[in-house]
Amino acid sequence: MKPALALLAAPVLLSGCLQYTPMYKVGATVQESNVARAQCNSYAAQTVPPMIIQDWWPVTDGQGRVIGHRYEVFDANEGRRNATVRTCLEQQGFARVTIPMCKAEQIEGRNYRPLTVSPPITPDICAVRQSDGSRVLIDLSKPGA
Amino acid sequence: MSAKIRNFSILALAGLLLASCAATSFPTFVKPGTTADRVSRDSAACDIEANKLFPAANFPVVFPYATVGYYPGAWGWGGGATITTTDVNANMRIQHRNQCMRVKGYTPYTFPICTTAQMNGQSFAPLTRSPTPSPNICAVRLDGGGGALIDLTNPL
Repeated sequence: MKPALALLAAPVLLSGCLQYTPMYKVGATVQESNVARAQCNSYAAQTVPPMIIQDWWPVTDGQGRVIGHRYEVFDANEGRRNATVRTCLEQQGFARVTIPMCKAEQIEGRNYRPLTVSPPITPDICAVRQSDGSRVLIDLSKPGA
Repeated sequence: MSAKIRNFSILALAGLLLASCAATSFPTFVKPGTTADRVSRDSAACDIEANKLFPAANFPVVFPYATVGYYPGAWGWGGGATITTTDVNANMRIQHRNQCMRVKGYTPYTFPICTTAQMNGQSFAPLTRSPTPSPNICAVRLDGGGGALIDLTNPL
């Protein structure tokens, strides 16, 4: 990867560690959110089938001469499928939100119970990554709750 | 080169299949004293509920690859892609099934597979009730899939 490209990619990759961006609905339980997401995933998988494209892209040198080709294979419907999931969830009242990941100094030495109902988003709400990669929300104003 | 990759894939798949044959543990749910029939019914009910709430959603996944090799007469390179699907709801479905069983009073537990030495040529009947986990309880694989728990202290 070229240095400039790496510099551009770094903030994007880091933001994934600092923020959690789920489809969110205030008042929905974790179970309701999961079921809605699963049903929308299933709907999108059934309605937007794979569209696999295979292509050769020219690779050029500094003078613009073609010196080789790069082979690419991708699913042209991936974006449409993801959009279908998002639209499906929006129709059920969910919206994309950005929630900060909890900082170590915010939670160390205290216990927090994962929230089971999506609360209104306030500065006290942050996300914690679980060992299985999933994330849960906690309310910093309610330690031990 | 694609033939080499195909051969490698076949070997990898064979390795995976052999590994699954040689599984040394049997994950299940226990609720001491519950009949095996009741455990099966509860497990099936949770499966049905989980499958209904979290149906399969198979999204395609593309794994591109590039290879370099010595073809007859010259070095060359090539590329391709492996296209598979992944069920993006699978984890949520498993999680729901486990929660459903917990709500019914079960605890997930992984028993070891009985070794030939442990069975020592003796015959055992499958337990008819969910046991309290202990070192003398282990699992045997059944023909046609699945497994059954036996008590090593209680041969036929």
